[in-house]
Amino acid sequence: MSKKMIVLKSSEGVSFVVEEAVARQSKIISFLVEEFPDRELPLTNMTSEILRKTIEYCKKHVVEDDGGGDSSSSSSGDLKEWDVKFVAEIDQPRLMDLLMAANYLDIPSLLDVTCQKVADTIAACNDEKEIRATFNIENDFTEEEVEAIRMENQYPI
Amino acid sequence: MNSFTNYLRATLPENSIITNPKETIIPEDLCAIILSRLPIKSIISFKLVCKNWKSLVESPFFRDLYLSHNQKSHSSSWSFMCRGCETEKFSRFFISSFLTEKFENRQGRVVAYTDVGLVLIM
Repeated sequence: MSKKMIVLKSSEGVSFVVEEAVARQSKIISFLVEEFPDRELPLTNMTSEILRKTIEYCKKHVVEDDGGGDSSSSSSGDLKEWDVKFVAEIDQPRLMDLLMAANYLDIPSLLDVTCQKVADTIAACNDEKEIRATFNIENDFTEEEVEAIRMENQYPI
Repeated sequence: MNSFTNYLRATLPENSIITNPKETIIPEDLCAIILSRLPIKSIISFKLVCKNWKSLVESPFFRDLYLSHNQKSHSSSWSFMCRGCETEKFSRFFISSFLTEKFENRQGRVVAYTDVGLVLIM
């Protein structure tokens, strides 16, 4: 029996043909496949690059439940290791895009690993200045406000 | 067709809180999930990042999220502040050592606490 394929279209209009079981790890796609069968699904807020990464993740994580064939069942330890490597290879802006994709498509495990990677990046920052620089956040406090926050949050050691 | 595209558009984020050089916008709820994974001593740094982050980590929503996330994991990053009578200096104790070494023979009183679960006992 041949596997059912579905077509996902990126913001640039590039079509990706994906096994349904792979794509269904996204709860949104699962829902859309049922509501709108046999239709190309346009993911207009997702670039080809991010969509490709998302599909790569889903392919690795798909559970082969047909019980036969060449399912290379990865152990959960291997899979964790693979996840760590997967997010480590992505630069900061793309990581944010991937996190947003995981959120948008509702893929909880991908959201978890990307959130953890961002948390680790924040944890690696020495102070608020480094956090701002890393995430391109504008400082909208006056010096007096900063001083007031420091005063009320003294952390004596 | 309309309901389909509307459905896809409806889930786009509105509240921005983290941006990156390409202006990807991370909504507030995701930002809270990320920050709640970090140790409590980093909270002061978060408050100083920008007004959005400050109001986020001071919100009841963040407090609840932080508690629920950290109750699941081990408590070693949770700490107490305590002013010892003999030294009149503040010390910081991790919860387990505080309870075993300090709390047994002492009457304590909660003097102040922050909304993220940091408690000052004298």
